[in-house]
Amino acid sequence: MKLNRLHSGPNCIAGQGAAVWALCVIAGLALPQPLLAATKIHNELASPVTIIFLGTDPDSPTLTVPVTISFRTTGGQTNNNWRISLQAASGPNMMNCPSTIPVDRIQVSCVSAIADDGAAIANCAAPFNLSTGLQTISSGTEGAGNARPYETVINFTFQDSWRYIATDTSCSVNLNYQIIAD
Amino acid sequence: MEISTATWLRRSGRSFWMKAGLTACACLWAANGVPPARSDVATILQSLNAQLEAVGKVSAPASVNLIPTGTVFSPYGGSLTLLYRVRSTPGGMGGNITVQATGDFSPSGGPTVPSGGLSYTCSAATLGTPCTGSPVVSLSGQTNVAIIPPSACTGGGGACSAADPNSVKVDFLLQNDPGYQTGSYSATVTFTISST
Repeated sequence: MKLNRLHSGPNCIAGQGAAVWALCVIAGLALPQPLLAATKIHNELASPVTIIFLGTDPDSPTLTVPVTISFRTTGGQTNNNWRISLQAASGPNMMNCPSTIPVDRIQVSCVSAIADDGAAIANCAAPFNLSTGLQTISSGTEGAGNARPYETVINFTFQDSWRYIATDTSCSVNLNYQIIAD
Repeated sequence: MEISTATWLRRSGRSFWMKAGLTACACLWAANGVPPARSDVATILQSLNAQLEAVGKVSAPASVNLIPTGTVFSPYGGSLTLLYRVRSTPGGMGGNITVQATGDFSPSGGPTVPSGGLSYTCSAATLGTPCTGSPVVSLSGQTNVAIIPPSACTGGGGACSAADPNSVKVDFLLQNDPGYQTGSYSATVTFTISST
């Protein structure tokens, strides 16, 4: 009698199908969609679009320009991590410069980092000199659901010098920010 | 028949409930699409520009005394060293250092700038070309001390000057006219540096 329940005949197949359907429904109810949906990044923005160092007096060499990086996430979870990194995408030296000026003469300092308006965690990384490799500016853990904007304020600092030939056109660096949300 | 069923179950390797569970997982997986990526990655591009303007700065001693260079009625002479830093663009005209008398000799009764009695020579410029000959200092206009080339900079080495600061020596010469009354006279000269 017990073995009869394991028959693979038509009745048994129908029973399996019903059970699978029931498990699907139960599983679907038990595991709502957002749990498996990955965090998505939206509205990523760097302001200003162009950083301009205007060197008018090498005896006052420290030139600082603040930049704000912001983005939003949807589908975030509080235990997931996020990170903003930066690299010089145009090479180890400034482009179009009459003098050779390495990009590592530019210091990047995170001033403040806010995630989800303070509901999530955001930490500034230590200051670093710009390079062609990605370096972390700020990181933390995500806000849940449709998080409010994450905002990191950075200071770019360049030390002007009499050692640099004056420019006809601006020296330039292409910057590449990478935002990762797990 | 019962034995045959048992054999089929053994061959499959999984129980009915295991298969049902796995199927349910597959169903759930399918309902959620392909496995979600672990991370979302976004990229922002930004430009950084540095505009380094042509500029120069020059400094001179607050005063220089002109003293007799020889015997009676020989000219008075005195030297100073100008210190300067400068940078110029590759596409510009370079720059220059000039001098102009901005105040005639006082008190009256002695030498005067308009009479052409104050002249100078230039030498030993560490960046640029010093003046040639013996220009006469003027009250009405600037005269050249040194010419700065394009693509100049101070202390950079390579195409620039390695010296920092740069310097140029200026030797003044004041005529000693028997018609001058004895006494001490002073005039003001101004050095200017420009760069493009």
